[in-house]
Amino acid sequence: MSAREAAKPDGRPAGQPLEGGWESDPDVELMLRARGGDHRAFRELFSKFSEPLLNFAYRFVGNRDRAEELVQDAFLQIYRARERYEPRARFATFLYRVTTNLCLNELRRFEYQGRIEPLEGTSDDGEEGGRELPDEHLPTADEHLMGRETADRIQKVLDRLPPNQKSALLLSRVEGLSYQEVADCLETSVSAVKSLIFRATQSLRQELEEFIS
Amino acid sequence: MSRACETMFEKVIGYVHGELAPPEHAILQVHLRECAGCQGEVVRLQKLEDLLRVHLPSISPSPTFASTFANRLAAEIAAEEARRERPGVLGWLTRPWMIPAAALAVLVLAVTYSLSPSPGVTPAKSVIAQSQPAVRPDAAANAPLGIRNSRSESPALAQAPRQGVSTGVVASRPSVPPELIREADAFIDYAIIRELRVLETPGAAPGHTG
Repeated sequence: MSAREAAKPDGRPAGQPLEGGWESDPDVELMLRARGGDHRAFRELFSKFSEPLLNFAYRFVGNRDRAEELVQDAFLQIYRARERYEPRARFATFLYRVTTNLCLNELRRFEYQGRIEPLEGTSDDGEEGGRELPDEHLPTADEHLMGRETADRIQKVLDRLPPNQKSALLLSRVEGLSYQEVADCLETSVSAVKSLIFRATQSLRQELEEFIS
Repeated sequence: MSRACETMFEKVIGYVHGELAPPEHAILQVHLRECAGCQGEVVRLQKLEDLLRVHLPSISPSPTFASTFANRLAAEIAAEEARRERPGVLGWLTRPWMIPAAALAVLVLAVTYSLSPSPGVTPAKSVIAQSQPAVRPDAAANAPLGIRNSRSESPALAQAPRQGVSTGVVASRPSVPPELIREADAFIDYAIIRELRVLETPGAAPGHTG
């Protein structure tokens, strides 16, 4: 599964917001069932969203263990508050909002600096832990290495962005949320989101010039 | 990039991200047909999109991720159920039967209070009230529930001379003029003496004062 596909459990094309409002969101329905005491519905939401959310948190804090813990914390927080859940947006927006807040708190708390794990081929448990290349063909060793270097470089540039710019960019360009949804997640206005994404894009464009020119 | 194009850069980003409103989208498309610089910018931004989409690090959950969450969720559910079954020190206040019980308690108190004899002033009591300090030192202990005794609560007042100082409780009672008390006592004496005379009279039944 590519990073982009993993980030979009509903299978929407890149950058395309969900048609219709939250009323037609099946995940809202699941959450309402969870609110009514249906534990199976809640577990279904976890199965559906935990992996994309894990990748989001990992890109944010750069540490696998902490990212896993943050995702679990986000789901537990939602579970604890389930009786007060009132749908006002797509469930994914709500979920990303909770997770983004936890990630921002995490960044503020520890001021992560250059702590992203080296993207080795295998993780501690021996499972493939590095990024997954989307190419259909198997990459050569050189391609693989180059891909890792590129990934490292992109992540380092992202890590240098201010947390708000980073969250706006990741939510919009990687998780596929619309500007309005990003604004909901960050509890700010659409124009503020435009400004955050504009500045983040400018930084990335300058820092990654060699890859895009 | 010309200065005019620099101002268009934000719009170009919105265009690539699919976030432009239809009128802005149409204007930018017209501009792009004429401006090679902005066309190049669109291409570069699309490459940046691909770069983020394809090359950002992606991980799979660890094998214990789901089971750890399941355990944490189970612990949360168990703790929640335990909280419902064993409320804390003040948890009983939230029990469903608490509201009717509290209402009943208030009702019983109200009825009890309304049925209790009012503190009427008998002549004897009024005499005592006139001859003694308005508030005895142990008055606070005997004060009815809910009535604050300012003297017993205030050390300054407690030290003040008591003669002639009345509390709110005593002052609120109607004072009986001494003449009236004397008349009442005289009437009682007269009634008693008359009753005794009737009793002394042979053949007269008690209560028949005739």
